[in-house]
Amino acid sequence: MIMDIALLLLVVICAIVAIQMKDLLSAVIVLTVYSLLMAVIWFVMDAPDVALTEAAIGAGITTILFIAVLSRTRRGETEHNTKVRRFSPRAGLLIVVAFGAMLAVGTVDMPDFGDPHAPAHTHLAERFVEMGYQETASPNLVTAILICYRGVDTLGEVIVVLTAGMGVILLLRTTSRRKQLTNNDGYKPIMCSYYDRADKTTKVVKGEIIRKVVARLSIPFIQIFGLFVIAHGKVSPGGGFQGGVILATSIILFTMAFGMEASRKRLAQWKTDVLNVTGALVFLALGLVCILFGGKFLEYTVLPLGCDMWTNKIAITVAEFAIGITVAGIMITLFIETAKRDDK
Amino acid sequence: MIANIIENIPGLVVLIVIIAASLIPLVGKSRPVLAWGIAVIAAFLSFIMSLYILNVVMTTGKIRYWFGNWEPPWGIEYVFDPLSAFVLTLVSFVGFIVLVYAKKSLEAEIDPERITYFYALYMLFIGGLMGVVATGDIFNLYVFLEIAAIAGYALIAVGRRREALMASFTYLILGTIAAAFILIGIGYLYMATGTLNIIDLAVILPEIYQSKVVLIAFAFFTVGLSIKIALFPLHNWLPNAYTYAPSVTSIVMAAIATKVGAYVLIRVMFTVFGPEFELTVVHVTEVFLVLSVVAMIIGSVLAIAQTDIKKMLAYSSIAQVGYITLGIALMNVTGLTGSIMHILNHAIMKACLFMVVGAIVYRTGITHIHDFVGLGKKMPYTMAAFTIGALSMIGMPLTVGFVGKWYLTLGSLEAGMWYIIPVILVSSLLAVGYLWRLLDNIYFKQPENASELKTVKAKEAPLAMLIPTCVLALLCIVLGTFAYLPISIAEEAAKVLLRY
Repeated sequence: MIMDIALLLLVVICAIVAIQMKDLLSAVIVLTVYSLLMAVIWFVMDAPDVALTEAAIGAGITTILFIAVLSRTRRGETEHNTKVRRFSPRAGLLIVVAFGAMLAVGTVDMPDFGDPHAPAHTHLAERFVEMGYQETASPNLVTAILICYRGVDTLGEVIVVLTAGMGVILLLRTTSRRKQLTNNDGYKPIMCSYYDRADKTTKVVKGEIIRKVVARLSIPFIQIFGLFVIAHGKVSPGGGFQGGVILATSIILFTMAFGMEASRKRLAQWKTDVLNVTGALVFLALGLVCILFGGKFLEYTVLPLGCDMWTNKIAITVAEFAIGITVAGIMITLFIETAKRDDK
Repeated sequence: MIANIIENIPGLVVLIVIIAASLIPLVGKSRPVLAWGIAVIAAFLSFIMSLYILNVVMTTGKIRYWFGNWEPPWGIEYVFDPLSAFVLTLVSFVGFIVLVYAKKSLEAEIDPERITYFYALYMLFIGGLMGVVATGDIFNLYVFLEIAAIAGYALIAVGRRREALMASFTYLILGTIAAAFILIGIGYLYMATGTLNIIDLAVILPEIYQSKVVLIAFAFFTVGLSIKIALFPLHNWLPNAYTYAPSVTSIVMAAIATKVGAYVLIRVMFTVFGPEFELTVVHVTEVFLVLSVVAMIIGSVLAIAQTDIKKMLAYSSIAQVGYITLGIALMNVTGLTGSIMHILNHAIMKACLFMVVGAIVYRTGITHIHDFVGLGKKMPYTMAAFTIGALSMIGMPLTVGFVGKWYLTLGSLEAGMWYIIPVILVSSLLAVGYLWRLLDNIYFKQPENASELKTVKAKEAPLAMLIPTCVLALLCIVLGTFAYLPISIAEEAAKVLLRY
């Protein structure tokens, strides 16, 4: 109880500090702390899947993407922005407080925290808990719900990720508008060398060896862990989303340590483009194959792969890897498209 | 196997669009024509399937399609009743016909290297909206709403002018707030009921109408959706988004994005919470009535003040959204029929008008109203289509716009609110005002100095653009003259919604 309150308080403090920070890089780091705290909270609340997602996506990849954006823009808030502000921050505060109060009013009739008789634990949950393993062959009930019972939602979420990635490609991957879009203060962003911002004129990058050695040492382990999280999604917390992000971070780490060209030599742009859609297409194909064998979309049990248990196991694994492929591809794309240099 | 595929059509109608979107970057990498081909074929098949669904729904009743054959409420289902089948057909039809039009327009307005991904995102946009309409699960609705929204942000931001980025960013922030509100609403509903299935929710909710959790959920749903449909005074994102987006995006967003938002509002208010809830517990209809009336007047007044045709049409959209919510606020079958008919009218007529704007931009690059002098002679067929669309917006008899307004008027009388009728009249007269100024420029005004005319080099739009425009213009008349068919569907839908 005290632990919960302390964690929630820390989260609120982090949020306020992040808003107050004028230095955007510091704000991003505070947000990372915020996400890590949230991950701890999810874990304390017995939601390890969500905790893993929050840690990998909230604290991990989001931070990297923010920094990639900062490396292309500016590190501090400018005075200019405060002048054109059309609405007073007080009015904003008022609205936020009003909506916060509304949410608080709602808590009056909410079931108690952890109440076993709450509708969320009694209505649908009974069948999920009692029949889940039997019906889906997945000991991790979260995976059972995500991939089997509510498979279309998960497919939709993969498509959301894909949409975001395609949107970034559509907007950033272009040659003709680049001149307009770079900022005017003459600063040419240096790919991922935030550490070296102080002496951006020098070409020699300090600490380069440390970075490269650490990257070399950790990348294989990161990749194995990513694959493990994907493959083990049906048994333990994790799955395609978390594992895909972890896989992507290994490539991003490589890019940060060895530079964009070396990274592109290993993993060309067309390859990530193909990865992006492959996962979604595999997931869709998995659903369509079920139709061809006489079932409904994503009705795995009609597939002729032996007994229902095995069919489900294989189908879940295929789906998890499909998710992982698209998520990894898109995360790499997001990073590279935002961080790459313009002057090439 | 064929029989099984037919059985799966209710799922495939949405999935085929998503599949096409995922295939496009692979196949159309260096050949945008292939991307366009796939998109058109998929959109056409999807339209045919939605017609089939509409036909089945109107003859044999509701269709429920269980994904993975998991029975709801444990699994996710698609549910087609008259309303969702009707709106689905509308979305897939507009999605298809705009694609036919898009090829020429995009070649002129978008960098060639971007066209392939534009088609992919366009398909995701359409697919997302169709998923929203088709689904019978409220969280699934949110997921597909996000697909459509994210695709929409990108489709706007790719506009040629720099303002497009800021317009898209504003929309992104407001759209994300709206999405967060809707998600909070879903979370609260789940907490109170333990289910996400819409039919299941409708059964459980009446028992706990008084619960504060349910009240707050409803509040967050309505505010979130009001942002999505740009109901006055939450319309701020709309004018710039429509103005600076590429023509194709303007057409498709103006025609169906806010309409699908209105669909979700109707679905949440009438199916999830039930008309009983609005009438006895929250009394939200009065609020909607006032906001609709204000939107109808202010939107039209602001439209008169514009000199950019795209901005003018955007502000007129805000007024038209007022008509749709007016029908919702009346809470009777006639009014709701008018609302649904107005969804149809606005989708077809706005698509037609924005297509004409796209054609003008394609030929001359102008969007300023004062530059339109002489266009009537240069682009006679396009301008004829524009005139028909404008008449439908005003609500002339024999156009589909008249049908919607007629039913809204009857609905107001039925509800004993005669004072709504002058508002509808005034709003229509204001529409005459801003549209007449345009038609005057196009047909009657003589150029003061012929050499300064910006329309000198204009000629009729290419057939690939002209045909879709004229088809929509004809539909405005056909659906208005032989209004029996759409009205019978809309009336049936309204009856189901109000549980008669």
